[in-house]
Amino acid sequence: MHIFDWFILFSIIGLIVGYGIYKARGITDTRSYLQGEKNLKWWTIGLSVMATQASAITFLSTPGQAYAEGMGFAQFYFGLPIAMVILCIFVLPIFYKLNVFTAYEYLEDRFDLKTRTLTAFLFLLQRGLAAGITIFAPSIILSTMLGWSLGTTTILIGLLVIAYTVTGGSEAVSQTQKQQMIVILSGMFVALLVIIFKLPENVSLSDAVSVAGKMGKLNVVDFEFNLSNKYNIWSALLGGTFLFLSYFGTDQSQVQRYLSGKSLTESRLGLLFNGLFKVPMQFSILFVGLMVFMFYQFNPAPLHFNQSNVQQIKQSTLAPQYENLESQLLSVQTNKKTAIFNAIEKNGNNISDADAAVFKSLLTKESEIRQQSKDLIKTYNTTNQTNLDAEDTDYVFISFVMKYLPVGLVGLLLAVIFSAAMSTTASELNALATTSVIDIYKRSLVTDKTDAHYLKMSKLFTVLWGVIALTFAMGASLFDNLIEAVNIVGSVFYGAILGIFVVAFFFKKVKGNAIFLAALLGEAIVISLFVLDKMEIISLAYLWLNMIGCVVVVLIALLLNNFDMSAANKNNQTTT
Amino acid sequence: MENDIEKPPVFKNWSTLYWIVIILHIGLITVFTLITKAYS
Repeated sequence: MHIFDWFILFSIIGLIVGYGIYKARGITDTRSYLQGEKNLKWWTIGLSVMATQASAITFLSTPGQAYAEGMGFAQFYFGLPIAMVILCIFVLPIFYKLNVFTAYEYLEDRFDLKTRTLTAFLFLLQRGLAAGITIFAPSIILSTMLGWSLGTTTILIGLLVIAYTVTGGSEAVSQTQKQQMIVILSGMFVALLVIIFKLPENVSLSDAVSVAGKMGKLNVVDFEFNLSNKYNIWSALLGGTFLFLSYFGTDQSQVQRYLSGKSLTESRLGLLFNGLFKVPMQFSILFVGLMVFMFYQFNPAPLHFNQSNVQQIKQSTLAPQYENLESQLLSVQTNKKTAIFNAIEKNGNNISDADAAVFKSLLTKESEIRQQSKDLIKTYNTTNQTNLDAEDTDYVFISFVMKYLPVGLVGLLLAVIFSAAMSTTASELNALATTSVIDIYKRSLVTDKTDAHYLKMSKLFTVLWGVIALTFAMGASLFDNLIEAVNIVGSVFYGAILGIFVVAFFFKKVKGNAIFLAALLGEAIVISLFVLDKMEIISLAYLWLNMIGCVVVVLIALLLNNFDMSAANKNNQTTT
Repeated sequence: MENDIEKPPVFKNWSTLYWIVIILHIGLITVFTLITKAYS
């Protein structure tokens, strides 16, 4: 990497860390540290909410998703605007009216302490795991760039984030995120322009999009109802809406962002802003991945995008086999490139079905060769007792950035990825610490200490959660795709949490005991379904877990409550 | 005793904004559907 890129990277990271420390200098009480000054305007809330959700993973994984599977992942966000509107109507007014610190405080008011504690615990569990993946994602970059092991880079990034978060506090997190989102959006826009500029002279953007479509990559909306299909419009609108209702309505890392608003109006506008811009933003990031895919139709794409893995294979006895696959791939890519040029020359962007069939057949051949390279990595793992990740979709975008973007822009994009990761993790650790202190430590364990004690404990819990997240991050490479891993972990827990809140808001007759048991049973059912799917006994896309978890908890709560009430009535009659 | 939560107030000014968000979203999904159909 050029020295100028290093300069840009370290300047931006240094400025962000410095800004965090500067913002934290006046913090002397727990409320300010955990909740900020409650003076944010709607655009800061909107950008902060978007920045919390869009971490480094968004940058690394999403373009890779588009490269490997096309644009279908855009559907994942279709439920988000609907969820924003529902939250603005029903949830925000209640949180503001009760002036809660965390979302779970409301549950004690509505049900009882055990339900509040259980829900806070479920949140801590899933967010603690997700925070691990958020730390792991940017460490991939350093690993690829410097040739260090993934473990070393994970620990390095994790410690940097923990240090920044402990000194930061909620106010600094929100303020920093606003600036970072602006840098992120402009960085991605510039990257897109550079990729389009790098297409061959005789291939227009329209030609490239048309070819991508004929290769099956522009499959944005899928109307086929299929429970095992990860992304279609039905799982998105039903499962996705439930996921986002739960994420934005009950996940403290998001609730904390919009509760820092100056007023209910500012918070509502912030969420609607997110609802309007999130889907186009994700579509654009996927489109960048699509353009990277098209770029590699005209330029040789590596057989495996993780160069660290490639180096190890090439130094082993498997090198001749790997090089043989490389030359096979080059031959297929050359044929594909010629076929694309011929088709465009013949019909412009009106690609014929016959040409499309040729593209698809060559693409299938390419996939087969890539699969063989993955099998080779697995063989290497077995022979050498290593754990190299055969999946490389998360490396697609970053390897393109490193190799093809001009000096200066490489540093800028890396800084964007680092700062996005840091701010998201900061937000998560901040929320984890808040919930640990407010909902568990201060509420149930140590109730009568001074504010200075709780401030100290808030910082200590931030460090503790950082260490837990870091430990989980060390095992994150087991997942095929990072952004999916975060969403899968969320989907396992969000349904039940949302079910608890749905009952709290809409079924006033249901009491604490019924919802507590329903939440435990509901979570057990969701985990069972997830395990059955993993064992391939059933086939169920993970987005459905959100809806199933929520519906099951609501139904069981109603059932148990009716049972409880009829038993109570019976007792009353017997007594009379 | 269980605390009663007040019913959400009627949002006369807000409902238009909510509808705008939903209608724009439906428009966006329609555009995506047309893109899918046109380029498949």
